[in-house]
Amino acid sequence: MFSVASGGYRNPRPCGVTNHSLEVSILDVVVCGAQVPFTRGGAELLLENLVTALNSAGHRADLVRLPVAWEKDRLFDAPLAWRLVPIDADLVIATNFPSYYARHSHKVVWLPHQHRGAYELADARWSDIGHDDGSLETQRQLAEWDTRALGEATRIFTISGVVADRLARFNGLEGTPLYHPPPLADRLEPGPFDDYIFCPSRLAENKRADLLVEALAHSTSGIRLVLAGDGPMRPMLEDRARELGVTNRLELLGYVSDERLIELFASAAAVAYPPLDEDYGYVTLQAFIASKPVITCADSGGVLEWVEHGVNGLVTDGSPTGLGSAFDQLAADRDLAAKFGAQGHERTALLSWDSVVETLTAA
Amino acid sequence: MSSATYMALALSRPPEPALESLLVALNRRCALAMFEPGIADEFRVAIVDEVDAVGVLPVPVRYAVWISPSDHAVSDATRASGNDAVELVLSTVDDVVDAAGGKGRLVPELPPSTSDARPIPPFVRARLRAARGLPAVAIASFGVEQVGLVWCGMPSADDLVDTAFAVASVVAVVGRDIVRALAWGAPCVTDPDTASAVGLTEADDVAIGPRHALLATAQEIAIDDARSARMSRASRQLYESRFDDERVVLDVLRRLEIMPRGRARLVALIDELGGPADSRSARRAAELVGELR
Repeated sequence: MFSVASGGYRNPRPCGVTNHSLEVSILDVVVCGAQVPFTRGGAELLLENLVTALNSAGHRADLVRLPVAWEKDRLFDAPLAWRLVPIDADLVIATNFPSYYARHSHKVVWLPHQHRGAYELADARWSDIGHDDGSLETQRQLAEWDTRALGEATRIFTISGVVADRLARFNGLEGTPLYHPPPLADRLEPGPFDDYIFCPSRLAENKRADLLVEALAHSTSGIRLVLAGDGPMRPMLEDRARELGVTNRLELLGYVSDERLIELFASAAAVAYPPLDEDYGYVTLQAFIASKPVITCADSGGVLEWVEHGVNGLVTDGSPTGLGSAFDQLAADRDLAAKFGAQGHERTALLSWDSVVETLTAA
Repeated sequence: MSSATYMALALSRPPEPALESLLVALNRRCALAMFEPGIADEFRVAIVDEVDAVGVLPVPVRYAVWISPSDHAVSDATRASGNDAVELVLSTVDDVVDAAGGKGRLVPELPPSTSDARPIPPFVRARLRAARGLPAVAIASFGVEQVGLVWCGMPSADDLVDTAFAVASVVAVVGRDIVRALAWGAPCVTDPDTASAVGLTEADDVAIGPRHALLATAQEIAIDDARSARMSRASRQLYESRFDDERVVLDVLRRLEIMPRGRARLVALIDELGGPADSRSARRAAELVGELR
């Protein structure tokens, strides 16, 4: 069977994939994403899991990725490249910048984030968008192009309300939050409430693991802090722990296997996750799936769409004393931690890839 | 179809103002050349690769016919000369589309050129103001409190109008200059008379209200990020769909199957996204295309 609806030749679909009894349309779907060479993180997992879920639902899905350059002199190269990419499919699901520049008559966007360094993080240390005229024109043009390219979509979804809010404030576009399960959702499980606060996260500035190390010095319960993950902040964290005299309570594990990660979630007293203006926050959901309470900050962005103070976790002011106090509160009251964890688990019960696939393919 | 980068035209009389505006705009994107005296009063355009020194056209050619208010019908000769003639019809002409056999393309009466105006969304406007030490919230009004421009409550020189329209949080404007504000992607507030004259309604995401309330409305919008971003986008869309001569030109060229001057496909894609001709991205695209030759 050759599909010519979108023009061009495609390999025929295998026989027997049309589910006549449920009248489900089986689609050829191309998922588009950006590629940062030699990097594998949350964005890559999201793309792979989406393609897997689409194929599991009976569609024929494939992933197309193009490399992206972030510096402003080459910022428009990848968007231009996407404009030229010929895509023969029934549906294109475009994700992060600049994959939504792909052209297709049925383009749906599921947006994890835009190029944050040109938007809300334009004043961050690592952004090369300054206040000079050249930078401002780059920012203006990118916003114009983004608005046009995103505006071509049949429908725009976002991974969280935070991302939808940014889209509205910066581009005047409406996006609908569409939540999805985190990695390891089907393997995480609850366990005892041991003697450590756990935080699995890249040791990078925006994830603010330094706040947790500072908080440890203000925690009087003796509870430990276990950090899994690596990054450029590691040496600084080690030095600071020495200065604060908390090295005996801090464990820096570096990268750990999925199996070890599952164990660490299962036995944590609580999970602490204090990023700055996070897009979504897999760690939050992983903690809740493992029935653990979450300690976070009032400016942690997407995390706050899930954590409710006094219900399934603690939302602090982000100060070391505030975080330290939260550590101690849950360390001293395991029943409270269990109660919060159970509430958190309930919040994640409706997350499923089936509903994500259904929503995206029906748009 | 040729890969022509210019069009040849025949005019038997000086073009009327609306046609002249279109020709001037077209000339920014392609080269125009006379090839022979026109027939009757028609503007005939031939799409060619080359016109020789004496103005002899190779055949075949495509024709475009300009139908103006004074020419309510297309001559039989012209119809006979090109059965796929593209007919450019000034939008103020009634019923001509039907008379032209439904092939007409409505060309709006081109406003004073705002081709240099680029859409600037509110968050970039805020950064522009910050870079220049201007207020965090800035309302520009034109023709509201008095004749001329008022910036943050202070009268300002009219030659600063475009600057004000480009960087203000919100623009309150009475009169046809609202088109300039729309071109800059400014969130706009105006009065019912202006809205009616220009053909705007509340559905266009322009705030319309009594003149005495315009500034207060502008202040409310200025502190609502999502609303002002939405209005900014709507302003530019409105301008492009109804007033933008650049888009009209590109559309006409596309219908005439002329590649805009010096543009290859990659660069033409930049035009679709609204990339300025002198932008870094356009130069980069030209480099990339040049490397393939």
